[in-house]
Amino acid sequence: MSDYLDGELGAGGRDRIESHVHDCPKCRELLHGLTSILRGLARFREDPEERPEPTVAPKVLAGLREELGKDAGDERDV
Amino acid sequence: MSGTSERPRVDDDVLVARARDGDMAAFEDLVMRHADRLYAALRRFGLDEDEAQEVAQETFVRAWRSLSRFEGRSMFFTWLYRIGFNEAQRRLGRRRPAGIVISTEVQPIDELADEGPEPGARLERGELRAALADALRELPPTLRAPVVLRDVEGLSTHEAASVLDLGEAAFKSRLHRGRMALRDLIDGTLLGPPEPG
Repeated sequence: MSDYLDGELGAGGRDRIESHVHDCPKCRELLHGLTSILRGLARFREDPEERPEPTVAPKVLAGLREELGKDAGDERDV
Repeated sequence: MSGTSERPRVDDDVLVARARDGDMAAFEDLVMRHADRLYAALRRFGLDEDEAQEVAQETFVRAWRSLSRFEGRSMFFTWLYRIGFNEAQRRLGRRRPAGIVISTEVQPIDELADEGPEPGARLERGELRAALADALRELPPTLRAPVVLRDVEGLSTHEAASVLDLGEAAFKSRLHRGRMALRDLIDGTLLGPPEPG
């Protein structure tokens, strides 16, 4: 069912899943539940509240420069 | 018109090639481009704010030092994620299980109920969002990582499997188990009723 949700089944596989789900309430509920979950998880990425505020990129860059500056110092000392 | 012109966005491939030739400014562009997204993914994977920033920084340090070994067979950000998630898994593995933290901003329910149209729908989405965040935290890292990479970060199956250094079949197996575990952890009433057959 995960392959179906990810669009990774061929037409034959999709048809089998859809046909089965049409007749099987338990699998229909499973498919619905997983679909809701995937939609909810995707919203984490899209939700502006999920982005770091303020952006951490400048801090990461500052830390990187400091760390690599130590590398340059070590090379000079050799 | 302000009169200022924006620089056209340069592909990662071009920046990586320049960085491999020693162009630090090009590498810094890559940092500014990818650091926030990597940080957010590490937070969702279970690191707290300080750890996620440390690991993000360590990821770029390692990436700079090993750029000559990046052969371009995967996308640059996939390679970055691999470095970052490996380090994150090491850190989480050293922790006691109770120590996993995800800081989730959850609005009080009555605030949600007062906002905009369809307050009921917003309330349900807020509850589901909180439940999903809690459930992700409950997953073991081996199942949480595939879900975060594929379903939250939106990487393809191939990219996400590459990050975790798994074959696609093994990755899909863990992903499915992770999704099923989430479903078991979440109150079914939050998922709503299925359409009739």
